[in-house]
Amino acid sequence: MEALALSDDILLSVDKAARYIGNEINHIKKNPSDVDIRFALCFPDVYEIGMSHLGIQILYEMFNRRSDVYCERVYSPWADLHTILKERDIPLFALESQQPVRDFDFLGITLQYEMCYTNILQILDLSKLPLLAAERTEADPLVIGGGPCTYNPEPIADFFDLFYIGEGELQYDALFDLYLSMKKDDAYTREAFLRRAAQIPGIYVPSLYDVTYADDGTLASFAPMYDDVPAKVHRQVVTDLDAAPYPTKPVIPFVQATQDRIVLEIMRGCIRGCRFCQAGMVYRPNREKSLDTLKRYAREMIETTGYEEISLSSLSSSDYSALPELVNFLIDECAAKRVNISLPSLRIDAFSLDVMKKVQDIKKTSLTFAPEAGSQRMRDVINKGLTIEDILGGSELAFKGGWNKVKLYFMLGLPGETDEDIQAIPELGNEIASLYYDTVPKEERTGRCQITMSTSFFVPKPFTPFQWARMYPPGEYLRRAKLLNDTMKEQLNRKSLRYQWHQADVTVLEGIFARGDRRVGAVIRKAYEYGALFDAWSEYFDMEKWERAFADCGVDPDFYIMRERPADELLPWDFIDTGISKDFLRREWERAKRGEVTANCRKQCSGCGCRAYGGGVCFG
Amino acid sequence: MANANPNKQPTVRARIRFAKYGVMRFVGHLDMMRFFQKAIRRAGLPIAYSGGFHPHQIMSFALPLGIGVTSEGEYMDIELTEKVVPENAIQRLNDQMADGVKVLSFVYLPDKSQKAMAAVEAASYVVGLKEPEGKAVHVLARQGADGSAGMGNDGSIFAEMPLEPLFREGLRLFYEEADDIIIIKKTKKSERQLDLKPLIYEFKLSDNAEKTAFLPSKDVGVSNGDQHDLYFYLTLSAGSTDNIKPELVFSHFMKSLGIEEDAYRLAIHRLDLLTRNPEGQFVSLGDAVGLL
Ligand code: SF4
Ligand code: SF4
Repeated sequence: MEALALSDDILLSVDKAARYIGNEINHIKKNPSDVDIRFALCFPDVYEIGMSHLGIQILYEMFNRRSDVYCERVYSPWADLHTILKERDIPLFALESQQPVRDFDFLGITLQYEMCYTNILQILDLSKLPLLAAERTEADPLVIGGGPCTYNPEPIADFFDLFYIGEGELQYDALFDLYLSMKKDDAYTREAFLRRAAQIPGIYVPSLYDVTYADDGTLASFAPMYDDVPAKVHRQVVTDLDAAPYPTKPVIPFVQATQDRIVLEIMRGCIRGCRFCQAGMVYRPNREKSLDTLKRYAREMIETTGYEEISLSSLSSSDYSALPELVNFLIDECAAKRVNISLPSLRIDAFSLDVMKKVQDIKKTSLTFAPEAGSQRMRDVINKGLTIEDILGGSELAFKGGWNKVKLYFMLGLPGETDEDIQAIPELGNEIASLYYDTVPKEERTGRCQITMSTSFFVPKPFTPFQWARMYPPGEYLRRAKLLNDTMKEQLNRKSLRYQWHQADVTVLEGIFARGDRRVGAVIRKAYEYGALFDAWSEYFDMEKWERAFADCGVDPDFYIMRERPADELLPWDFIDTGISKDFLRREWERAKRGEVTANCRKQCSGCGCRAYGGGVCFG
Repeated sequence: MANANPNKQPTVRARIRFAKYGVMRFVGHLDMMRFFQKAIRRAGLPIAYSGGFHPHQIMSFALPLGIGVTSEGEYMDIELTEKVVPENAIQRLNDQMADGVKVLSFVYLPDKSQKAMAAVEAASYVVGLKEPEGKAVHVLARQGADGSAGMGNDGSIFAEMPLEPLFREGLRLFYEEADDIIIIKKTKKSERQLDLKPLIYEFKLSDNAEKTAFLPSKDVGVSNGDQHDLYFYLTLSAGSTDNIKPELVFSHFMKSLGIEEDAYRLAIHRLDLLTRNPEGQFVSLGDAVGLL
């Protein structure tokens, strides 16, 4: 048993000490002296969140399959331990060996949401690495970023030596092999390695690109500094998911993780092109795993994990072509093994209600719809193919089946949204409540129905048709939320309606990070110096620190928020080739403005460009 | 036992004794339960489930162990739908344990026996005490607020004593020769006076010679396998009434010596949980199975 990096008195004084000891079931232990590459794989948030992430488990398993690589995990120390590590000058360590991250060859950080950006700096800072890539020396690990936020890595470009853009299964071997061969031939220097790494498909080395700005603050140019550095970085896409590695022996935490269950990834990408949705775009084309593969994984993971629940994972599980067969298989298999089934993101219809009745306690669960917008006009603008008939029809079936709780998710601040569109949200809630009272006779009701409407504020994301859209100041978001709330109070069934909305400050910040350029990096650094950390946690988020940071760095938030970008503006993320053509996005932006819907990939290909990857739904 | 589920198939009850040591001392009680639930499933033991929409394994633990404490006397009772050969069950479970958890025994319980938690009457511990590196703490045995030194009336001598005589003397005054040990026990709701003396069945300091013999079983190290300067042996009242933790006893013991509570590193290791046999003597919760 390895000695721990933290002393007993520290571990006894922090919350959930088991976050920091490693030693979990299915973790992988190697002798550091038996390997050539040590990789610290980091999810920059607290352990319970990070341990729930499938992508990390995939890479962990994949890297460790190589006998020359030892991949270990790192998560953000919670605020209590953060303070202790700083005070006592203890370097951040990886869980498996409990050895300092700064002695590793690579530090890989997954970037799942923008609000983790100060946590990246925490990881670097506690590891005692220079925050800026430009200041790192030969002795420091190479810091590499991956995950959805790399679709605009510019606000954090200064902190990373390189980024991996796309699905991790494809190019890490090439990256490791290059590293090893340069070390072996004595040709390795940080600079030489990065220069050659930039030539591996999907690898972006920010320091090898020159950025200039025009007088109005927009990008004037973005170009590689050398001829051998590619002008475009191509997103990496796995075409055959059945052949890709899958972590059928995932690490099982002692501390209860957010995702305390088997996760069965059934497909990647989505056939629907909701115009606000970055995941629906950047994971194209939709690719399914075969039923046989999924059956095999499910059986195996029930054995290897001992979990009591299995959950399907995808962007839109209802679109999986063999869903009925898969679900029936799971119901049979899981009943025998006493495993519960969890089916998130199912569209409500006769089939899903029937399944849910079998696998859930309907008294305890609520029905979930995500119409995203209240009016049909607005749903057409965002290309959300969920109609009022779908919602009411599904609700009616559900009410007849015994449900009486409905949750509805919407966005406020969508492009072109009017007050009528906002008011349509509580009106829709009211209509569903009326339907309940019309459908369920008095004697069969158990109290009122409960319709909960929840809104988030829309944040335009790169590589979506709304990437050019403007945002609003926090006050305007709150006005819209208030309008919704006031309108709700006027509804006939107001007593059956509930409304929850999100913080507006965080939305604005997220918007700046999502579409910012390299100048935003200084602000993130400043805010971290002022103590900003765990910004994704409302109890830690402090807008005042950020306002000071923006002011001190002379960066104007409005430049990033308030402008609708002209369609020909050079955008900070244009150097990435996600396979989706800018023409397609422009076309979709125009269609959105005209309220025209676009068919899903299965009905009709709309020529987004991803067919070039040679797989998935484009050939179905 | 009341049978909550009338359709339930007949089950057999088993008691599992396990050790928890090394880094696992930082895994809390609830996490250990969840760990065992998964391990039992992986081991493929025919565990019985409760009814309802979300059936759970029928499993109960005796006396949760505090964070940071190691043990070779942890118990849990489970119900199985069919009998498994005990050696086989132990093997299958140990194949699924994390480094730092080890199943030591598996015995079937007679039908009417009490649940492990209800049977617990006492717990025995060994507590290792270590002088922090580089500084001799015994000189910290300093004058009390009223000018009296240490706990005795001759403080000056006290303060110059080396570690072992200091604690031997302290223990004599605090426990062996004390008529009572009155403390104020605070709970969330109330404060009450409590006499610790009758609840401490044993409290002794091992002789130098005994020291190594007293070390817990070979593969169960006390706190990372550190060597300690002194080893204390305690048997304390435990269970649902008057559950006395060794930390509590030590905090009052140290106070009586006029020593700061955190002056020494204490490593607490639970040796066993005890119940009483029909003659009223303490016996191990594992051994008691046959008696009941
Ligand atoms: S259905 Fe729409 S919102 Fe959901 S993942 Fe697909 S594109 Fe995104
Ligand atoms: S090329 Fe066509 S079918 Fe393929 S992802 Fe794009 S729109 Fe869908």
